[in-house]
Amino acid sequence: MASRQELSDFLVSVERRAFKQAVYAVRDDDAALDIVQDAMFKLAEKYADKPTAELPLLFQRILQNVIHDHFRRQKVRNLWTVLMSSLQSDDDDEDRDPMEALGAAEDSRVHESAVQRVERDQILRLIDSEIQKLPARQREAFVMRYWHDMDVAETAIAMGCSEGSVKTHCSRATHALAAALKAKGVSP
Amino acid sequence: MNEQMFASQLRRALDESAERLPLRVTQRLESARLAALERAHAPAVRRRMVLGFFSAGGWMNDRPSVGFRLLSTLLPLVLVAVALYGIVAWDDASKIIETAEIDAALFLEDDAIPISAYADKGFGVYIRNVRQ
Repeated sequence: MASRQELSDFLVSVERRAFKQAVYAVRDDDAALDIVQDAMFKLAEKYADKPTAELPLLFQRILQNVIHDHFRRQKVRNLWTVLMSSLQSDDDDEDRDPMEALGAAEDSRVHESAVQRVERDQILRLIDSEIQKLPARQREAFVMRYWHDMDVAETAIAMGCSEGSVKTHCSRATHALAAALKAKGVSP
Repeated sequence: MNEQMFASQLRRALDESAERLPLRVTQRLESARLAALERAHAPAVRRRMVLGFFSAGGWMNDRPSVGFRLLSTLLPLVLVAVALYGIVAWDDASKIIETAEIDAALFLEDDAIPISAYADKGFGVYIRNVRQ
């Protein structure tokens, strides 16, 4: 059984990667934060009594389920949004201040002094963007296998597919990423 | 460069990227983690006893339990079945009453058919043909 400290250490070790993983999937920081929080709550409430060794796989499965739930809810919400927006006029756009958007962009811009750090940030963003572009299953397999250090069997269980499929997804993802980054002259 | 080497280079880049998350994000992750740890050691059993039937374990942000989902599926079906049975029963009863009223009206009319007419075979055939 994982103690409070062990559970805490585990969550510390995975929270950032889980956030990035969720961002790759949903492409929205706030939604990704909600997803990670939900996954943490579910793990803590239902599986806190499990051995520490089982937590990574359990957390991955929960995270994947929460991401899929997010897409299901979004699908329903989009349906209603389309229905409701067709009933509304476009007058709302007139009330928007374009300077607000500019202001927000300014706030989020990170002012770095070192040129190298800026360049490295750009490379990391490019890598993030290429990972985001991967098909969902390839991305899931790649992230779990190579970033979360899960073996093929664990990744297959978390993804609910065969080990052969995991290997195929990983191989395709790696080749696609290598080709995309090479085309942009980026070396990770 | 083989697949493993490339993957490990990417892994380093991803780790680096995760380390550079904005403060807003890391703070939110930290508060989510602390809240999760609180939940891990909260008296979950009592909560489940109260909400057990309606949620699969936890507060309202959890998915509904199997019992609740079963109930929410079966209850409308049972209500529809009861309503249909009621409509059919009511329709049968009203038809019987209607027929009885017609029969009673036939017997109570001033120029009612004499009782002996019903003993006539030809009259019986006539009545059947008229009803058809």
